[in-house]
Amino acid sequence: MANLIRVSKLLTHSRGALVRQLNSSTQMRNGDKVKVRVTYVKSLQDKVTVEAEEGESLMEAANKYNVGIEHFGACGGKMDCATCHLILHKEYFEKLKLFPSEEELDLLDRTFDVENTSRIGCQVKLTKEMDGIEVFVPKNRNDWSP
Amino acid sequence: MAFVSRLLSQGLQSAAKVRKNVRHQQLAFASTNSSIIDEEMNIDRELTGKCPFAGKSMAATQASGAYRDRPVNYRKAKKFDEVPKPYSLPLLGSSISVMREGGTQYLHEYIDRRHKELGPIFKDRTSAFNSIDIVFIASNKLMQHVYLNEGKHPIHLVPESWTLYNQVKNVQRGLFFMDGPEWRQLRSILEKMFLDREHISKFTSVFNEVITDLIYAWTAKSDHVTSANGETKRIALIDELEKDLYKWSIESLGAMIFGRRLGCIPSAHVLSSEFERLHEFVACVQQIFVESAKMTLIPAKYAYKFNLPMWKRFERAANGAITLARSYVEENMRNTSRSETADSVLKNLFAEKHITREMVCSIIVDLFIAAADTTSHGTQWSLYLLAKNPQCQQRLYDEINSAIKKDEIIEERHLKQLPYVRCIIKEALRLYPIAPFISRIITRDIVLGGYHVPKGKLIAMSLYTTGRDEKYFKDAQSFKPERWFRDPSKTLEERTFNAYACLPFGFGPRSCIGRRVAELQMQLLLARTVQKFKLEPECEEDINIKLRMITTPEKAIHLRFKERD
Repeated sequence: MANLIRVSKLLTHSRGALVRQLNSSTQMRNGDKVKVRVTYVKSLQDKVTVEAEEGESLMEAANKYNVGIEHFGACGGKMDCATCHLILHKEYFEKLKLFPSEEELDLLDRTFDVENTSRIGCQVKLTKEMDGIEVFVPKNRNDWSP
Repeated sequence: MAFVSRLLSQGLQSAAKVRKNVRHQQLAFASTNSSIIDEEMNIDRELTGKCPFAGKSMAATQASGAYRDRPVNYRKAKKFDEVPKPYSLPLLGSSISVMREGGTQYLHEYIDRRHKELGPIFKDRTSAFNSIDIVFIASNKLMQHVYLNEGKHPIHLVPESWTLYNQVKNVQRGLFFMDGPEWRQLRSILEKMFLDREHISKFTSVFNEVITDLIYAWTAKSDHVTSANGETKRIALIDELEKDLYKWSIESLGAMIFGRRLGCIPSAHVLSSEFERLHEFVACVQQIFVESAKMTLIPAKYAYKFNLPMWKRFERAANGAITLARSYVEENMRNTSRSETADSVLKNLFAEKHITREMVCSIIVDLFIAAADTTSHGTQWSLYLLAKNPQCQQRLYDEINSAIKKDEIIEERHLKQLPYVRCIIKEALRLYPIAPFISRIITRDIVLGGYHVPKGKLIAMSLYTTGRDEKYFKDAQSFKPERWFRDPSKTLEERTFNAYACLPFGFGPRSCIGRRVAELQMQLLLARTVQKFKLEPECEEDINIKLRMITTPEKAIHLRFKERD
């Protein structure tokens, strides 16, 4: 929780400015672990920015820092259940060439609400270059429990 | 995303001030409107107005449960009673029609015909005495909708005969029979062993060892045959392919589970005295499937009550399989308790403190029952299709030769260079889905194909029908592995259009846990067999499907294996 920065009440129009600000600031260090900031966009009104560590996956980071996405990463990061599907910010996706593997594409083809910049969250390991990345949580997810 | 984009476009028209941001959003998250989510979902969202992007804070909607539950205005949907159904006599359901068409062995054809007559959704009662409606669906979008709404702990149908057996005998069973949090807990443990690439990779060498023995056994069957032009070839007539593959499948799985060879296939590693016991186990597992398939028409509870021969045979087979598997487990438990033993599923299960020994037995018995028949039949159909389609076989052979030296053994690292073998497996399972119907019992009301389907209904996805539907697969009846090559020029929409029409392993949190292991075993076996032999069918005649719960051939598949030079 110490790493959690909540920006859920953030107004839409100030969003761009904040992202830029985050981007320009340098990476913070805690011991030897490089921190990487990730913003999970759950809706236009609900965004959560967390400071994750390099090497963690987008799925792990969301669960570890309590981003609060229901039923996220059910298979434990084995690229099987597709519950940790995320849509990456196009800029980062292209600049950092965060392209999925053939096998991941097979899974993405059948994932709900898939886009050209979709990834299976557990397959994206954070690097310091990804600092400030925004990822979008798709609307249609299998996240309902009886 | 479709709806998001639409909302965003509205935003563009009404508020010039936010235009910039909206554009930014659209660009940022790939504006291509590619969603293949069906109309129902759009209706759900529009009617409720609880879309998180519609202005309400997500926290509020989530707290009320409204957003994630996607409530639907059922008044707009047609009633469940209106779901098309075939004409049938009261009480008997469609059992007479099913029997007329050859019984449950040809259920896939009966259902396929009904889909053509009644459309992508209909309900039917396939059993006499059984008052449960089954909703059959055969459409990309409808299947996706079911998977989207299956929830955290999806429930599937377990054959009545199996649950009844467990009740009568008071036996505890494994993953297949579990539901809810209990299922999730065990699934998570098994996922670490069966879905983890690194963990599976450890077993590649033993999988390959089993294949080497199988190929050796096939080679031993070869005879010298002199052809018309005077050339001498070594050819083997493989007339027990099903049995051979069954042994291969059990042996491979056994090696993974116990960390040692069982001895289904003759090799230097095992004593021949083990053979008999294994043959018996194989026979029992096959019998379980044969008898439980029969008990779809005559419900198991009646078969049990009146002690019909089919129940007696089923009970005997199930007793046999469980007792034999248990003896294996117990034997290996003794060996595994010594810490220096090789890595195995058994060893990992022991490391889980809260799983009792009894439970370990149940889990392993079920893994064998679930894996042995399915992997072997999937492989058998693949070999059959390769024999029937020499041009595809040649393409695979060429691919192997360009990636691997002639006498080199194909290893896991080579498989990346053999994309065609993956396509072959996908294509074989499209035409011959081993589980012809994948079932889900839905735990909430949904709108499916415009009909209100109340919770608790049993839904069966007709994979045989969608896999062979021209709408999804051009020239659907032909075996064309090439169709599975990824074409980078395809748009997202084209790419995802038929994804749900061919899901032989299912999808989501309850998809087949053995998929990766099975695919690895199959890829190695197919590639290595084609590397060594040229396959030809013994007779040109096509072999149809006859269900034995799973998709099996109507008659024995005989192939000629010609040794390559």
